[in-house]
Amino acid sequence: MKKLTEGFDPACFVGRELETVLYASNLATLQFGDEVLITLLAEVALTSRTEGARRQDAPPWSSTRLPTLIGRLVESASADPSGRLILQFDGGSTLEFVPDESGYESFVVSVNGEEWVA
Amino acid sequence: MLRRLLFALVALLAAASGALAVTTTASATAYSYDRANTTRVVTSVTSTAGAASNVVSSTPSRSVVASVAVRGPSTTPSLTFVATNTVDDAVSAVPGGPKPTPNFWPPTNPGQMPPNEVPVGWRVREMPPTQQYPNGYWKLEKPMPNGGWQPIDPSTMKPGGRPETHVPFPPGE
Repeated sequence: MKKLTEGFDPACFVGRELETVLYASNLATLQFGDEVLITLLAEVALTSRTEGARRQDAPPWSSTRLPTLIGRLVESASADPSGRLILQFDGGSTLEFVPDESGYESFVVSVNGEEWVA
Repeated sequence: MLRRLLFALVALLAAASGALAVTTTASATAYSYDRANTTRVVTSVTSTAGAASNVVSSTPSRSVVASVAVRGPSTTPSLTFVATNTVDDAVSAVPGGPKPTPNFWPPTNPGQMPPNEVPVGWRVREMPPTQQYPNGYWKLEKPMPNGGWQPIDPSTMKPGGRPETHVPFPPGE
């Protein structure tokens, strides 16, 4: 398993639909088709165009807005050297995955079985 | 004369005491949010006399989990905070060692090697050293139906949070 900062190409998300959000007590998985999956272990920031506010979701899940993105297509994706991954959806919403300062893994991206961790 | 001086001194002290009573502050609790569902709470009770501020009592920083969300008509949830465990213990650095991150919660499992056998389909993922894990760490993971992996706390063999599922390798391994 590689670090997200080691050669990860975020273009794999572009044009894919967020099909499923699956919650467990300590994580959520966001599935983009059969090949691309994000396992979320820490917080994610969702900025909705309709609400305008930037909202952070994280396990344990007391409430979440991630399902509002189900069915949306990723229009653009970017990653930076800090390990931050940003997905822009059609409709104007943005998901921002930021490695937190906990020292633990924050999220894992799986593409065709190959994994990157941040 | 001496008696007058004493009375004057006593009156002066009484006045000063009253002023102190007026400027004494009540307790204060500070919440600093570091994650959406965890909150770092620093509680302190201070008394203020003039410009000086003395801590009368203080509670060590605690990490608390926002455990209950009561959704009202607004989108702002009401939260109940329940203390779980200390985090300041985690920032006790080894002299000369890597600087710990401020939000690092200590792993709940002691340094150990991963199990030789795991349930069928499960995996052990070994990771290289990090700032907080100078010897590296490992995770026991259970497959999920959608291809994801669920981290497992090896002490309970049940899903756990990050401090429960990132297990340090022992030194020298």
